[in-house]
Amino acid sequence: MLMSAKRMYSRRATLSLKMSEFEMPPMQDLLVIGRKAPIGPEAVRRMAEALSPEQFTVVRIEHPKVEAVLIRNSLLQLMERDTLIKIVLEEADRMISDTMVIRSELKIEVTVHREVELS
Amino acid sequence: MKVAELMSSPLLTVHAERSVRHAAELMERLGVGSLVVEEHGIVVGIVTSRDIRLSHPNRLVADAMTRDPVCVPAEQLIWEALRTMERLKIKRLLVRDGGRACGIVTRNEIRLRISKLQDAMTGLFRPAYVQAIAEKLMAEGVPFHLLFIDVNDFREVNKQYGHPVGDDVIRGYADRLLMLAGADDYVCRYAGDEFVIVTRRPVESLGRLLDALSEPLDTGDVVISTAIGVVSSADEPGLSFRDLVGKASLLSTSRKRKGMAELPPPLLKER
Repeated sequence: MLMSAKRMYSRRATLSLKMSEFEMPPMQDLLVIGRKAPIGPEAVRRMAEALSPEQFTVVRIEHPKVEAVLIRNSLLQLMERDTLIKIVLEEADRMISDTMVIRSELKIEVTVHREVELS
Repeated sequence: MKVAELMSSPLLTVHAERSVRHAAELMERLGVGSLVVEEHGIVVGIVTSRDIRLSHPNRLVADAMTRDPVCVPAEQLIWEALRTMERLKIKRLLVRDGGRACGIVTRNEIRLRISKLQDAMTGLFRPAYVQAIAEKLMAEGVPFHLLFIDVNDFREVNKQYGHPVGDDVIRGYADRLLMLAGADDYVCRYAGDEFVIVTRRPVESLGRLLDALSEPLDTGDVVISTAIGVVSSADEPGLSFRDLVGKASLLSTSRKRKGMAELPPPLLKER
């Protein structure tokens, strides 16, 4: 018996949509920018300035793997810049390669305990 | 020889917000090793093929370029431009005409041009070098002295001891000139056994230089002396470089004639 010469041909596409809220700003509190990362400090600065004007600062770093760190300005009001950068680099150094950009959330909690004399 | 004569112009530019990939393609298409980076009509940097190689292609040109490129005026002499590049260890200079960037000049281009201006036997520059320096100093109103130095009895050296010994004498004397020359001295081999120095040394220092140059020189085979004519640009306003050389050379000849009896003949050293 002969096979039917008629062939079925169709092209189909399946669409899948995932929706979530766009975080503003997407870079959270910190970005650690590797020396060979696909985006450099100037691009990051311009992006941050466009999305959240006057809220972030790019700090250029002398480091074998890290070229710069983008920091939320409000964090710099809570802690000295060099102290903050030192801590960030110590932690990032263990996981970053020079081609990466790492996003980080950083919360600083200040606890105050005072004692006063009661009259 | 001015930077303007060697620079590549017009400026080939790329915008700071374009990608490194775009800059690389542009360089390839234009067949150049660097582009000037502009933003809002202002020059903000230079991006070179080396910068491109070291940067991710997705990066902005602004993140790959060298910021605040060093500028030199188009009127600057190429020797000064080379000195700047060697001091700062850079390979390119942006050239400006007034306040406007107008070209790029590279270290290799300047070195190549300068090598063509050097005398093969001694390594000293040819007269065009001191002429360019002297004319610039004259244009800027900076006083200088021009020394015309003539090796005494050089023809006799060649006749008596042969041309190879004569060549050694010239090389030996050129080495002495290079050794004595300071930052304010510009030396060239003017012709066969004649040398010219344009110097901005103050008079006291010039005296010491003349004393040193007047000392007989033992070049290994022969001991030679020189006759030196000196003219001051300040004393000869309006004279061209050619006129100054002419006057200094006549002074040198006159000194040679006067002192011929006193000057020692070239001596073959005892071995």
